[in-house]
Formats: sequence, structure tokens, C-alpha cells
Amino acid sequence: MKKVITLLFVAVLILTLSACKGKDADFSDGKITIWAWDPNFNISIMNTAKGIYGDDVEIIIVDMAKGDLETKLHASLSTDGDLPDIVLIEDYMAGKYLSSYPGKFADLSDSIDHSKFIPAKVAIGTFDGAQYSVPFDSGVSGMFIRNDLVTDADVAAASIAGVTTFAQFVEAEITWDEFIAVGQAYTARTGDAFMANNFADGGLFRTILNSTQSWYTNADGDFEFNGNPGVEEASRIYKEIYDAEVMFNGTSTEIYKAATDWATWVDPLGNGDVATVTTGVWISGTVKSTTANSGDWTVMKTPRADITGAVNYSNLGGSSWYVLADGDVDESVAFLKAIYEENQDNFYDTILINNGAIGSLISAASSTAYTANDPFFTNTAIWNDFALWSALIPAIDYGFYTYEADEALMNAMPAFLDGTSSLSTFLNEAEVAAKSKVE
Amino acid sequence: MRNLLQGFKNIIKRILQAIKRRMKKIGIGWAFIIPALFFITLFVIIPIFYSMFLVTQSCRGIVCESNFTGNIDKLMGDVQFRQVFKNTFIFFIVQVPIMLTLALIFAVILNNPKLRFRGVFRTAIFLPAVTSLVAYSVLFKMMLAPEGIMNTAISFIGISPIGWLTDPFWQRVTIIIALLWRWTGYNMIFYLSGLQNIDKEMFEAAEMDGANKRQTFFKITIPQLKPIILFTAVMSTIGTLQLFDEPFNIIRGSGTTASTMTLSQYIYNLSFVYIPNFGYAAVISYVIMIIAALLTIIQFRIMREEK
Amino acid sequence: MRKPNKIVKIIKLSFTYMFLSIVSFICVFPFYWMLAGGTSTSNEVSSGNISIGSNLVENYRILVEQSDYLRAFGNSAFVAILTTILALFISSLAAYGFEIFKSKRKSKVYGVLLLTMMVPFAALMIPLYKVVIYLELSNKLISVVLPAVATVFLIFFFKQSFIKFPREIIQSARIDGANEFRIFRSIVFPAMKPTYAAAAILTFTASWNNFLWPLITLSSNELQTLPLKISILSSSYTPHYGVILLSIVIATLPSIIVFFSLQKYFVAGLTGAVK
Repeated sequence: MKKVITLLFVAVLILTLSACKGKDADFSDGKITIWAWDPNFNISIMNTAKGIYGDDVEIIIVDMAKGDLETKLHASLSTDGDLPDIVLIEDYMAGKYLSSYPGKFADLSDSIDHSKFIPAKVAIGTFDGAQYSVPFDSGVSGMFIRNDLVTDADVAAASIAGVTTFAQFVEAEITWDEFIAVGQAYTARTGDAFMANNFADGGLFRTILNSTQSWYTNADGDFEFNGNPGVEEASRIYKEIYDAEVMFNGTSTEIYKAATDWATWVDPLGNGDVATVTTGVWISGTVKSTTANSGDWTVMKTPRADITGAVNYSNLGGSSWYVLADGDVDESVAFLKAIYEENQDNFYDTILINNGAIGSLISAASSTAYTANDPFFTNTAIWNDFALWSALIPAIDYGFYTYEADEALMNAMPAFLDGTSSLSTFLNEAEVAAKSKVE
Repeated sequence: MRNLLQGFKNIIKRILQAIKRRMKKIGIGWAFIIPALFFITLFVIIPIFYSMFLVTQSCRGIVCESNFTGNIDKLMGDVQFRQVFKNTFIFFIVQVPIMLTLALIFAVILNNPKLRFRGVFRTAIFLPAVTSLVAYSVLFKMMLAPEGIMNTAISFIGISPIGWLTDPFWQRVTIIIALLWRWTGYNMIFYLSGLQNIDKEMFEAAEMDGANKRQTFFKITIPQLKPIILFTAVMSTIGTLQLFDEPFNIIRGSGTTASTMTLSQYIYNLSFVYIPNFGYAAVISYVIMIIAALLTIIQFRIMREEK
Repeated sequence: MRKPNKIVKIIKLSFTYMFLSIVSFICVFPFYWMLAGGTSTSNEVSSGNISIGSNLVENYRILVEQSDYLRAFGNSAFVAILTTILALFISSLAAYGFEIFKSKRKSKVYGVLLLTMMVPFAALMIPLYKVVIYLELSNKLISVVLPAVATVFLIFFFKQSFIKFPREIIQSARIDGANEFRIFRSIVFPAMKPTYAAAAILTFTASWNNFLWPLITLSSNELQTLPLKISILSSSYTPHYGVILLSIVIATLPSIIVFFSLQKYFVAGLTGAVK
């Protein structure tokens, strides 16, 4: 019996030792490890960067799902576990990581010239006066609209001042109420939805909120929903869209298609089930993936909330690169600086053409790739438009708790949408729930 | 933490030495147990001790401070905790009895040697248990979407579309259906294996005594399966109290989470979604442990073997 | 007297078959749908097509090219097989020790073990990761195996199964002079094959589908297991449904094969040779 146990322990020991010979996660090893998500966008873009930078340094790009990466990053940061040298962090999350893990991210204030990037983007990666980010893609928003489906008559029905044709419409700066009016005309005529929305997702809500120059929090960084004009207006617009039913063939029809996840939100873009989508520029890759729709899509400015201070420019998502302090900081900064700050080999042109990515480097926007017309989008210079708009996005301090606020608002939203809660009851309830999450 | 681990290492070392010295005295039984104990100590007991230490901490990422009473105060006034506690209990009370009864019925039917295509049915019913979580959540999301196959099917019998993924009430129904679909076959396997271990002669003797099927079921099958039934009851209880996968993967992102968020999901959010507070997350996990332990003790008492 | 009895029997039997067929259909349909999707293009899947398509080869090509799927398959196989073998051995030994050599002290230890099972894994993940880092096992496949080789769950299952094992057999073997381990190996183990089969199926499946822990402890692309790859594929912003569903079909096959090859032990009378 003893023999068996001894054998067993020896077996385990051998296993353990043999495992130890595996790859060592040592840091200053002349390699740069990068964590990012989405193979068709961020990963593909980093591969382009890797190709440009050459073979002097080995660059290892690890592909993960976004939610998985965030979980893993939290786990590793809080345990001194395996970390990469460079990591991609979504803008809404930046404050949370920077404030929760002091000293874990490298201060790049002196090594990267942040004045070359869009200020609103730099502000997101700034914590306690130090700049930590290498600003990456912009989430500048626009309204993508099908020019083959929406007609002059739909537009005219909305009676927008000075707008009678589709051509005038796409040049106009409209409000969300005008958007809804066009949508009603469109749905009443075709029976199809004008847009898709997941009412449990805060994406569109944040797009509207960002354009009102406000956020979920007040000047002290505390949640303030009730009495916050931006939040109230975004809630009102959600309900207007939810309630905007029209008669089609004798049945009352909604102007939106209810989505329950990413797939049910994205699929209608390819098959004509919806005529518009209002979101970040990063959707352009998905829109273009249905090549049969080439020439059918146009892009116009984001609709505006109907309150003072609101503009037709907004942002949804976007992310930036961060360097881990315990990693190979010098090598990583040199790499990021060459590609993202110095635009080596016209990097930004390549990723614009290949991935539909709008960077945050101000000077990149004046290159030929940006000013060229895109045949997919009716031969208009949409990239130039997006680049111009991205500089006009209201600068917002997202604070630390964007997703906590999102969750609280969206959980209380159904009662408001179906009319059981008044606006103030709904916002109060959500505010209490949100505050309890961050106490 | 390092000191703590070092301390445990020494303790283990000492225990091992003591065991070696006293092996003869203690008896051969321990020799069977020690290998397992070694791994469990390393990968379960030590982490549990560390999490017990965390209970006294209030954290914001890696910035922690000692604040046990603060954690308890927070627990007492935590609205969200009350909500997720309620959700978890609804799942537990509704789903576990239905699932175990169904699993037992399937096992007994499929144990009949005269039944044809037994293997086919068995495989079919077990199949959901082998699906990976990601697969199964993709499937359920697609089938239960507003215009999915489920709403199409019920429209044929005149029922208007149901918000399986979005309506707070139906979200819970969806989770319970998903749990039944995935775990009934899984529990059936335990019963099937347990049925094989029952001495065939007992059934033969009962048959000779003229017992009918119902009598055999209640007089032989159930008593003989008792240990396994206890096992599945305890495991399902623990599993449901720690329920995480289904609400996390099927509902999150599809609809509002208020009516389906469970205790484990709350722990996960406290650690990886909100500002990480591992201390408070540990407090919630011990609430789960205490409840699970109480329920398990009750189940052991009810099922206690007559000596 | 005989005839109506027979009719009742037939009605009962056909009811049983109908019931089983419906249940089986509910259980199997999603798999058929997966299979159909795995052979179709992305558009066919999202438009609700449920017939077998003709895009299988293309989907497979994309899958293997894009995500190093075969390597992930190998990683998963290594982890699941090693875990299953070690876990069955170590856990059943312990269960045997607890059940056959009962003592007060062992019962106490066993009680503590049961208690550990009740702490949710979500709360132990971070502490466990600390232990794994301390042992310098992180980012190695073995770090997925070792924490799963002795599970309280399996010990509990085996112990409950040993309860009904006739003690006389063990006693008589002892009188014959067999040593304890030999009794376990050549008498108890063969008699308990259905239990081992069930445990093997469940351990293999759990290990094969394990997601959260490998996510935390494995960091390199080359070490990712299948569930991590599927998660990446299905989270893409331009999802390729055909490829995703094919990856799921492939990932499900091994568990089904394991079940198929072990389910013969669930046939009544074949191995219930506890005599």
C-alpha cells in the first residue's frame, strides 16, 4: 500500500516538474505580448501594426472574447498573475481599471506625445493628472441609412424644415423626434422596421447621452439620474421609439425591431429588415460584409436630442491601448509610439481601408485614404466626415461606473416603457439601485 | 499571503510526517484517503482559508482595508442582495423537485431490459448534458428570440408571442426550462448507475412474491437508490444555490437581469464587472455556504439510513 | 382473462414509446439544428434554414485556418483524459477509505470536505489562482488538471455508491488473506464498473467543457482549450454562424463518443455481478 502511495506522489511530482519546463511567463524577455478582442477588428489591426514594425521584436497577439479578457485582466491584476505587456481596454472601463489597480499601469505622460491625439480621447485615459493610454479607435457615431429603401415621400412626411427630399435629408442635422417621424412614415408604407434596438442594452442610450454633453454622474462623480437633463431626455427618446406605433395593413406596427442580443441586432443590417442603424463607426465593417448591399447605404450625422447643448455628434464605445507597468515597458512604448503616434508606413490609412477603423491621431485624418470616396457608400467621402465629426464629439468624463449605471437603468426601464412607472419614479428607482452597487 | 501559504506548507509537511510515523496506528483506511486529501488541501482548503481572510476586507481592486463589520452592515442593507437571494430560491424550489422526479422516472423506464431502442433513448436524453455551455446558450438564445422557432410554434396554437428573454416573468421560466433540459439527463445517469448496483435477485424475489411494478418501485427501487437519491438531491441543491452559467449566458445581454440574477452571478459581478470588491464577494459566498450546509444537513436527516 | 391484459399492456407500452420519443425529440432537435447550421453559410443560418447545407468543407477550412482549432482540440483532449483517469483513481480510493474504514475522525474530515463543496467557485477562483501562481503552475495545461483530480463531488458520489456494497464479500476476501488494495482493485472495482462509467462520463464532460478556470489560468494562444476558442468565435462582431456551429458540433463529439462507449455498463444485469 505504501508503495502505491509513494508511486502516486512521485507521479504527481514528475507531472508537476515536467509542466514547469513549459513556457515561462517571464516579462523582460524581448517579446511583446498583447491581449485584445475581435479577430476582424482589433486583432487584425494589431497584426497590421506587427507587420509594419518588423521582426526586431517578437510580438505575440493573444485573441480573447471581450468579456473574457476583462475577467482575466481583473483576475491577473489582483493576484500578480500572468499579464501581457500591452492590453486593450474599452474607454468606458478605463477609469475603473486605472483607479482600482494603482501602479499596475505604466504612466505614459512623458513617453507618448498626447497632444497629437484627439483631446476627448486623451482625457479618458487620464487619471490623477497622468496619461496612461495610447489612444486608439474612435467610437464616433453616425446614422447609417439605406438609400434604396427610404424614399423622398417618407422624408417629406416628417415635415422637417427645409427638407423635402432624401438627398436633403442625409445632409440635414435632425433631431430624434424627426428621426421617429420619418420612421413612422417608412413603417406605415412598408411594414418593415426603421431600426433595431435592444431595450435592455444601453448602447443607444449612451449614444444619445454623450451627444447631450452629459453623463450618468454629476460634477462630483456621483450618480444623478433624476434631474439630469441628458438622462431624462435619453429616457424620453427610448420611450418615444418604444411607443411610436403606426398602422400597417390594419395592424399596429412598431417602427423598431426588437433585438435580444448582438446577433439579432446585427443580422437585420444585412438582409434589409431595417433601414437604419445609429451607432459607432466600427459597425461599418459589419455593414460592408454584405457586399450585395454595395451602393445602398449612406451615412449621415447622428440625430440630436431635443435639449439645449445637444449636438449632432456623439460616440459609442472605442478603446485604447494600455501598457502594464510590470511588463516590458520600453519595448512596448517604442512599438506603440512608432505605429500609433508616428503613423509609420501610413498605418492609419491601411487600417481605415482594411478594417473601417478611425484612429485618434489628429494628423492621420488629412491623408488621401481619408478623403477618398467609398464606392460602398454611394461614392461619398464618409471617412472624411467621420474624421471631422470625431473631433467634435463632446468630451465626457466617463468616471468609473458606466456599466453599473447602465445595468441599473436598463433593469428599471421595462416598467417605464410599458407605462407602469413615471419618468421620475423610474429614474429614482434606478438611481437607488446604481448607488447600492458602488457603495 | 506568501506567509500564509508558507505556513500551510509547513503544516502539511508536519501532518504528512505525523501520518507516516503513525500509519500503523491510524490504520490502512487513511492510506486510501491521503492522496485525495493532499490535492483537496492544496486546491480547495487553502483557497477557502484565504477567502475567509477576505471576508474581513473591503476592497477596491487591490486597495483593501480591514472592515468586517462594514461588510456585514453592507450585507444587511443590500437591496440587490435581497433580490438575487429571492431569484436563486425561486429557481431552487421550482426546478430541483421537477428535475429529480423526471430523472428518476426516465431511469426506471430505461432500465427495463425488455424495452427496445433503450440505448437510443438513453443517449438522446443524456445528450443535452454533454453540450458545452457556450453552445447551449447560443442555441437557446436563437430558439427563444422574439421571432425564433419557439414563438413560431406557439403561434400555431393561437398563443401570442412571449418575451422569453425579455419579460421578467418569462425569463425565469426560460431559465427553469433550460436547467431542466440540460440537467435531467445528467441526473438520470446517477440513477441508472445506481440501479445497476442493486442486486438483481431482489427484483426476482419480489416478482416471485407477486409484487406489481408500483410495489417493486416503492419497496425495492427507492430504498435501494436512497444513497444516490440523497446524493443527487444534495448536489442539485448546491448546484442551484451556486447557479451561474444559465442566467449569465442566456439572459445577460438579452434582457434586463433583475429577475434572473443569482447569488453566484452577483459574486461574479462584484469581482469582475463592478469595481472589484473581493472582500464583500467573499461575504456573499459564505452566505451561500451556510444555507447550502443547512439544507444538506436537513436532507441527510430526512434520508438517514435506518440502522 | 389474458386478452384484455395484453391490450392494456400494448397501450401502456405504446404510451411509453410515445413519451420517450417526444422527450428524445426535444433533447435531440437542437443537435440536429447545430449540425444543419454547421454545414450552412452564415446567411442560411440567420434566415432560419434548418436543412443540411453544402458549406461544410468551407466552414471547416475557415475554422481550422482562423483559430488553430486542432491544437485547441489536442489541448482539451490532454486535459480531459488526464483529469478523468487521475480523478477516478484518486477520488474512488478516498471514497472507499471513508466508507469501508469508517471512523469518527474520518467522518469529521468527510464532513469538512462536504462543507468545502458549498462555497461557490466564483469566490474561490482568485484564491485558487494565487495558489497556482505560487506553485508556478499558471499558464500550463497541468494547472487545469491538478485542481480537478480530487473532487469532493466524486468522492461523495463514489462513497454513496459504496454504501450498498455487500461487506461480507470484503470480509471473506480478508479471511482469504488478500491485502486491502488488492481487494479494492480486483473485487470492488470490477463490481462497481457502472459507477466508474458514470463517473468517467461526467468527469470527462465537465473537464472537456470547463470554461471559467482555464480562462483564468491559461494565457497563451497555443494553450487555449476548445471552449475558449468557441467563446472567441461566437463573440466576433461579424459572427460567422456556420463556422461557430461547426466548431460546437466538433466540440460536442468527444463527449458523445465517451458516453456511447461507456453506456454499455448501464445495461441491467450485464455487470451487476455482485455475488
